[in-house]
Amino acid sequence: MKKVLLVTAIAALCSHSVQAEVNISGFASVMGGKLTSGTGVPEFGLGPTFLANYPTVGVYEDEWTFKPDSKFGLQMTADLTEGLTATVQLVGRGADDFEAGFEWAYVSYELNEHWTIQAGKKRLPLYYYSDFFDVSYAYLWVRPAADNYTWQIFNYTGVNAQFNYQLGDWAMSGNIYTGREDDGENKLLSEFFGSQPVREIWKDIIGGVLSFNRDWLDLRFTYMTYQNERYSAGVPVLWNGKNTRRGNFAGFSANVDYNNWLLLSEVNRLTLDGGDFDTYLISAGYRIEQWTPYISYADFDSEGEVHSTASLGVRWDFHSSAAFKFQFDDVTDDGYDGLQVAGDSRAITLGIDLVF
Amino acid sequence: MKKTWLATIVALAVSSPVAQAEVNINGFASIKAGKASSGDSLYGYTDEIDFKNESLFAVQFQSDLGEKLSVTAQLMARGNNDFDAEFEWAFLTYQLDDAWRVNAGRLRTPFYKYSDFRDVGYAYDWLRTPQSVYDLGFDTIEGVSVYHSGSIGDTQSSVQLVYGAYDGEVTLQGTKAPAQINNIFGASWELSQDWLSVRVAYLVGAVTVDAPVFNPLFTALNGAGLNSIVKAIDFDDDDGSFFGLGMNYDRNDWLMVAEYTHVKVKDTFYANQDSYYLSLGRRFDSVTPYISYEKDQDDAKPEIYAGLPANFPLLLPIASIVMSQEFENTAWNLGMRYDFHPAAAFKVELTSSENNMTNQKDSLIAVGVDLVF
Amino acid sequence: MNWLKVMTLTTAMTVTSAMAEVAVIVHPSNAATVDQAEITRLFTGRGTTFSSGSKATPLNLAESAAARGEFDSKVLSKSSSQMKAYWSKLVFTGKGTPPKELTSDADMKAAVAADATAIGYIDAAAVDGTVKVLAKF
Repeated sequence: MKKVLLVTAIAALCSHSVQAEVNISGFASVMGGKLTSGTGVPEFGLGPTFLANYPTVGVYEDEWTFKPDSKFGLQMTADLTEGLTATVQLVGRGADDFEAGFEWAYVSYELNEHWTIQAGKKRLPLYYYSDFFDVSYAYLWVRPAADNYTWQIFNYTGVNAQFNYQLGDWAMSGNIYTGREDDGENKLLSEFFGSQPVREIWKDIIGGVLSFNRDWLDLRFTYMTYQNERYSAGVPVLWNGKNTRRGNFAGFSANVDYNNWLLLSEVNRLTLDGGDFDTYLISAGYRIEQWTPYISYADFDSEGEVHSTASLGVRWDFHSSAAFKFQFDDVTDDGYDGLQVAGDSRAITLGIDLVF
Repeated sequence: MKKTWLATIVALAVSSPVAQAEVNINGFASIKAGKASSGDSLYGYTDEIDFKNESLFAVQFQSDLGEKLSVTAQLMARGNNDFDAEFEWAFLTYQLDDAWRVNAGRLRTPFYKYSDFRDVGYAYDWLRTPQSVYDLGFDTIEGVSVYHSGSIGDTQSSVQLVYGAYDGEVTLQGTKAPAQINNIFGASWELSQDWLSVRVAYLVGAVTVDAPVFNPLFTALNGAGLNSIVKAIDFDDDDGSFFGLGMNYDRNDWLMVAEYTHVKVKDTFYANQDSYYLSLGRRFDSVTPYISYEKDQDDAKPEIYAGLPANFPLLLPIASIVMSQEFENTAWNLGMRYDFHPAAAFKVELTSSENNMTNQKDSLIAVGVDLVF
Repeated sequence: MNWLKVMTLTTAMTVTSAMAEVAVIVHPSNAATVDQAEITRLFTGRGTTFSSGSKATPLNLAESAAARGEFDSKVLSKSSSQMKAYWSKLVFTGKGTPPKELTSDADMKAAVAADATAIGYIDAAAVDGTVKVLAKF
């Protein structure tokens, strides 16, 4: 009798303390690079530049620098109670002088085997690599193609529902989300594309992602719509007399990982108040033991702003948790007068990505 | 009954979290308060008590990934930055063997003896590192560092080589200006044996500072055909160098620490800086009182405008910029460290700083607690 | 005859050690059946139940264990680096967490024997009566 009581007491005590389990994991990238040549944009007074990362304004110039693509991330997940977890992810980017910010902060509740609802601050899952953009270890190249990932807003605060089902041989998963983002001083618009502090708001965001996976094939469909509001130095920006404009994203991605061959492709279109912004990416790689050489071509096309990048590189998985990467990028900026971004450039980048 | 009991114990043992990549967490914190004498201001303190200026809190995450690779990230929140968190350093380490180690990422610039732990108040006896010497800025660079530790007979030797770049801000003429220091190459060597250690450090880099406040002057000078004067004043990829010497004596409870540094940047109006300090302390069980003397001597470069005629219209602004760098300051510190707990130390320090050119004196008293955890 | 026997024995032994079979194990009371696709689903976070509908708790060996590399390449058809990249996409985007890791075959057997929902794997040579083998690779 006594023994049973003791056992029950111990079991109750321990099961309670195990619930506060906190798991810490992280990722890091130490990348250095420089231009080998560049034209810059003389009209804007911009010297030779390679804009490797639009949203964080990660820029390479003539001198060796480790800042644009280096970053550190720490994630802490706490298991609160049955099915409920809380997660925060702190990221410090070289381009932001390693200021640590909460990139993700959300609670997650597992409704059942197929559905999970989440609420909080998350990354906007527009393109294939949007979600895990900072976790460089997870993808082939040094960075997801800059020409594709050019948007100034990449987080949102809201609610979303994730689901996954098995349909015969296909694994289907998806995400439906809604929320908004209000960036008081948007870095890309305030510093690179302008000189005034710009407040960028994306509101009434509604979007969805649907993925299908079967063995070596991965297909993803994405659609999102939002309302854009902008203030430049406090003054509302007007488009056709209105202070909001609607944007619609649509995209498709197909990835193949078959017998050491990798084929990655993505095509996306943003329609903003009548104007179209098209991007696409095509990349191929071949795995030879721990080495994976790759090539990649990415393109951005809109009325006036046109640029593309051809890349050649290699990934070496020299360690079970780390990969060395070397990449050469050749950027061609064919923007019409006044709509160039950073001019033509050629640059090399190398370094190590890891997860822990 | 027996079966249930055994099963439960096994279940409990198994349900404890199994670490995947183990993450080690350490941290340190300083809670400091200071107040300058009425009308004075020193080291960021005014004559009103300030608890934020020198307080900070840091957490360090380190993970051993196996196969000689590990990663370290230190997150710091400083009171004088409103406690906004920043990755103070973040680097990968590859331990080649027992003697050689390579770090890559955001690193601490190895200028001074206490560069590596200047934020870890617990690591030294004073309340703050001597400001006349530890005032260069550029504390963190992004780059690669190679360490070698070995011994020469009975003496321990550690060598550090560093290559990197700095991209941040400096304070020039009272205003903040963006600065880059590229192609930083440096080496430091420390020898220690029993109660004595000596250190020497030498670093060079190409300094560029963008100070738009000087643009009107530079435009005027260029217009007058005096491009050579502009080149002699501005910070445009100019060679900077840092030389430092340090020593530490710790014997029979008597402590002595001294450091000397010499900094110059060629072809700029930056004065040639000579700074040093000497600190003497005595350990009495868990109390260590100390006294220290600091001197900062900056020699301006009047030779920049020496060739100009006396009635030259722009002579006055040039001379004032160049001579504003002339500076001489001495400071006395009297303080005490009290180790009241194995992981915490109480500090109190009185400082009297005198500007030898203007004969202005500023006094400061500060108290604080440094913790490690 | 004796010589032939020795030859056969030696060959058999060499073959076994080169193969280093991995045995997928569950609790002795677990009546589920699995195929390679099913095991892959459970170990890549794409499912949390057996085909019978009962709950499944996948357990991994640590990377230092030999059977882990065998499992990743034979059953999941991926290298450990590829699996790591795959999980980091899920972990850092809130879409899943990798299975808990045990450091040795002995720890794995103890964990599986204690949890009716567990599914794990060990070196085939380490199998004993405390666990039930569902498949071998």
